[in-house]
Amino acid sequence: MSGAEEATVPLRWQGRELAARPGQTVAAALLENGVRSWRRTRDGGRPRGLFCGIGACYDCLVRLDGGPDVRACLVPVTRGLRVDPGGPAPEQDSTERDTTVQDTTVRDPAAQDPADEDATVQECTARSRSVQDPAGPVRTVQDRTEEDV
Amino acid sequence: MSGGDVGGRIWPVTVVGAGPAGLSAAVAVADHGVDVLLVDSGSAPGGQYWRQRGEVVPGGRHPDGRETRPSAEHGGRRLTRLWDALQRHRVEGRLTLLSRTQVWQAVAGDDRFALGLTPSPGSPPGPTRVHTDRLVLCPGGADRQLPLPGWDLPGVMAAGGVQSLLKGSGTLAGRRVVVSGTGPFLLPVATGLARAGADVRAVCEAGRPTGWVRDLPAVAGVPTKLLEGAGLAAAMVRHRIPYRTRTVVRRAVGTDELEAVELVRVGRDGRAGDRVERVEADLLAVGWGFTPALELGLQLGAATRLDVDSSLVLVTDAQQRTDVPGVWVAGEACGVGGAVLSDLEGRVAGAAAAVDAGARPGTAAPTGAIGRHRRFARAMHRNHPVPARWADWLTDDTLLCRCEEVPVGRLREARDELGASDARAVKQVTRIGMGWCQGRVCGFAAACLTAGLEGREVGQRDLRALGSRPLAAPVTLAELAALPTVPGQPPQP
Repeated sequence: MSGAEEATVPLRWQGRELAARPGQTVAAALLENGVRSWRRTRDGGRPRGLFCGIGACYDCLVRLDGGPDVRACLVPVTRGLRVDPGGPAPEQDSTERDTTVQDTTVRDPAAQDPADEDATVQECTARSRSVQDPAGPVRTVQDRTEEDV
Repeated sequence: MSGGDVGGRIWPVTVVGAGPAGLSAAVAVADHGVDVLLVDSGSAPGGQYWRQRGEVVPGGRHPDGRETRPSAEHGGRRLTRLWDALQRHRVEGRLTLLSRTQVWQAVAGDDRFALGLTPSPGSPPGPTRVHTDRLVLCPGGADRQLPLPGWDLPGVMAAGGVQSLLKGSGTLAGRRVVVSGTGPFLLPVATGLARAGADVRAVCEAGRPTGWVRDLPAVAGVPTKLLEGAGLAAAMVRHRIPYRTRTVVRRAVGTDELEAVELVRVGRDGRAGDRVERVEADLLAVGWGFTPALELGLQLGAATRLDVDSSLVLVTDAQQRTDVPGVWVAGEACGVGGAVLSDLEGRVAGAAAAVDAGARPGTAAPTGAIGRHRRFARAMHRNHPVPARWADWLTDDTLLCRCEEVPVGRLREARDELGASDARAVKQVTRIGMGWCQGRVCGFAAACLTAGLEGREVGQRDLRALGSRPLAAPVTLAELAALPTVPGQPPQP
């Protein structure tokens, strides 16, 4: 083992400075600093942190230096990185969801990302709550002929 | 190598994924004297199973000038040999390694393929498009998940993810741990955690490993596995970790994070017993096998089949060739079987692609070893199935789709009230599988539940409906806007 001490990598999280180790991911650094969850879900406002650990589940979303959502488990720490919670803002009223009338308003992208260009395709799919009314008649579930892709 | 260089030529062979299969395949291609591009989403080769600490990269240096080396603990001699061969081929210009790059799309043009690339999260921009005559797909897989009440509490994690966190970042995901699920993989997860200082309270194995006795010839065919098993058993004893067979975790308990788990014994018929044992824990590491990542193969239209472990996998022949000309597959994507099998298959696929590109055939393929490892893998799957009655411990409130927060009850409603009788219809009506993860986590469970409600076994169509993804990785609108109008079009001179 070399005599050189491992330099710590300082990160900023919610007004605190966290110490990370070189080569760690942002998610690992958060965990080691006692932060086990770092965002809330859109509908239930439930806490999420790490689940799959390898970039498949997208639970661990964070915003780095004010950028778009990224998976914390895949991003290596860098000096002075500012880490903020990721994912959509939880619904204001998450207790009751009236499922007979869907909210058809498109969520305001400006509230999330400064540049529309940076909005990922998948994020847009999730955000715009368009007109699927589960209580109403569902067209063609059996009518579709073949596999899509 | 700059983005322009990689995107500006037509590669004879491109290997996607640098885990055990891809690393082996790329080295094999280069060994045969053919130029090869190796594209990998990680910061260094190794994939999940041979994952290295974050700062270890081929040809890298520590701050004090020492060369960064792969750990013998994570991959052994096999990895070290491949790592050094990779470095040699890179220096000699035969192999180009494009790390921290995700392949989000694979399209076939006339005679060749175009790959859409996007940087891995937190990585600098790089080449966006690559053209190649031959593709060797080694995408690997991810932990297979089954929902359970409370599984969305922070502190419940995939077993493989817990291990990757430890290997890659040296971080323990929790201090008081219960490991559960099925399969031999649970053991290295548990012992690795214990070695790192965690208090592993139990390994809960849903199956009965004594069933292996039936498969003795398959087991004996790979003696190294027996040695490995013996070593793991000894480590379990040394760390005093109880190994509880026929035991499952049926609920994760806690308010805003995991506080305890509830264990039950599972009878011969798969039914859970009544006696519930509560164990306090801050980490539940769950593993039910692995789900291969098939997006790119499906995008190219390759044939699939259902493997012994009910995974959807790509069909390959003895040369690891798919039914799409110019496409080979190696590793978990053609059948879950572990790192050594992936390495062997990678070698065959790489050699076959190289010979197809005009190289002279080299040494004979390791068909014997491959056969033995596949037999072992089949025995493993047979002895560690997903428990037949796993859905018994779900309630209507249990979250099925974590991304879209869709509970199990809504899937049942979709069928009972709306007539959604296949996985695709269920997806469209409930949004299960439409969130960020695009069904990677909930897909297998949703497919099984849908089939189960219809009174049948899960089939290819169900799995495909939740496993086909036109975008294999998130891509910005700007990247999509910059695509060439005609996909598969080769670079202009």
